[in-house]
Amino acid sequence: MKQIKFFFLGCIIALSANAQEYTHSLEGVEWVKIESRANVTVKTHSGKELLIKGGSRSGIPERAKGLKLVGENGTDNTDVGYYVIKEGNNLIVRNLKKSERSEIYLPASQNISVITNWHGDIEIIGFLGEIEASARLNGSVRVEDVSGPLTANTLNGTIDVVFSKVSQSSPITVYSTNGALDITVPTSTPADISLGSTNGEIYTNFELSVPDKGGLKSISSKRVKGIINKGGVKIELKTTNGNIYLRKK
Amino acid sequence: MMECDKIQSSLVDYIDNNLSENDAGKAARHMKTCKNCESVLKEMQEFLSVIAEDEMEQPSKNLRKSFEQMLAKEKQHSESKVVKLDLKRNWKWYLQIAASILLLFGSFLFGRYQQTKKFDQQLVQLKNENLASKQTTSLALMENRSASKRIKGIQYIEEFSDPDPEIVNALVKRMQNDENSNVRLNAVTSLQRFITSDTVKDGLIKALDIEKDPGIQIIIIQSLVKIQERKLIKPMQRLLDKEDTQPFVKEEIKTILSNII
Repeated sequence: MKQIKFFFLGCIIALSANAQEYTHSLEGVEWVKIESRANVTVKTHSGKELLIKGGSRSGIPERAKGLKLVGENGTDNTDVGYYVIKEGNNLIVRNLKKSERSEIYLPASQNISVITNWHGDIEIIGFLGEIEASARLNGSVRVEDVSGPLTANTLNGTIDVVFSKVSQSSPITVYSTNGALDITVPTSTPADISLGSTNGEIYTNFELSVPDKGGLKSISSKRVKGIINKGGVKIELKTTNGNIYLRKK
Repeated sequence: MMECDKIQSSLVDYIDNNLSENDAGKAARHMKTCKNCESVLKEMQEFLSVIAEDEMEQPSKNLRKSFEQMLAKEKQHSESKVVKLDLKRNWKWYLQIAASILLLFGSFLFGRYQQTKKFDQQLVQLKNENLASKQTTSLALMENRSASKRIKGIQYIEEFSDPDPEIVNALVKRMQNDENSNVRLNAVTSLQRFITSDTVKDGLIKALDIEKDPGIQIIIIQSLVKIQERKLIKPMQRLLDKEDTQPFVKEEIKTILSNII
């Protein structure tokens, strides 16, 4: 009798867990574009598909039973509050809920683009593909353990990036209007670095050797240019009103 | 058969008695049993005897005599017949030498000049082709799905001293329409080099009306203020009237407008 009870309990747990998860194939998908108004965390997993884990409160309210969640740009087709659709070789993943944190899991090599519009903070951890992160209003961006190329921007939030290594394939640009930039790269990274802050300060523990280019002046005196480890991929950090911190790892 | 071949090849020596006693005996014994070889031997003996009988023809004694007379005569004549070169070199001689050296060098230099000219032409052509392919690459990159690649395409333009109008137009388009603000920022920065061009000026003024990013708004304003573009005033006033314009952008505009008026 006790065993049967446990069995049923197990079934219920499994079912409710399933209800909060959604998977989608990534076959033929080059970019996964995630859009959200709320916080988004994107992590890697060993699976080959997209996996969305709803937040702890992602259960549908009693009153909403039999109804569909409708958002600005689509209808819930996942039961975890997301609208997911494949457009060409892009997979659009749109969070329809306005205030709920959720976690998205993808294979490490996936190219991802994350855009948040309201207070959404973006957190991206452990990717080897290309990353684009854009927090368009008050959100911050935190990118960890990645290799780039990276294109990140915020309006008011800070941007923290920790590179595990730096891909030399195409430029890395990090830009914020009002936020600070805090970037950590491995000490041995070869790169051409350009740091610019209109009203903020620039701090670094890298020795930036400034190449003598015979009378070629930099565009603005508020910009610091230099190369590390004999030069390499371009790393451009720019902010209008924030400080810049460039660190060695 | 092998025996026959061997015997026949040594027949000449056999006839001339040049074979060892042993070999000669062998040949003689074989000849008695082999009719074929015997007939070959006979034919050869006949042939050789004809040659031997033929007497060598001798030139007549008269010929020898007249030849010797002729030789003696020639010897007498040839004394003091050596012609000496005239060692007196006049100015003409030097001029000829100088002229030939000049001609040699001249043709060498001309040849080399032609070569380098051709080489230079090829180099220029190659450079142009390289530039053209780079411009094509740049244009293609600017249309890429990846923002980082689009930025790479824009940064390529720094290498062109005099890019195509097509490139500048593409850059203006990026600045006005790209969804990614990092790309727009790079396009605006890159366009600073061509700020005196009307296309770029008009492009920047139009961009100010649609640009939402305050950092980029500031850069556009500052770059147009630097060249004292009067057309800037109206879009700046529009920006000032907008509710969602950032306070520090409004401050900047107010400062600039108060300085102009």
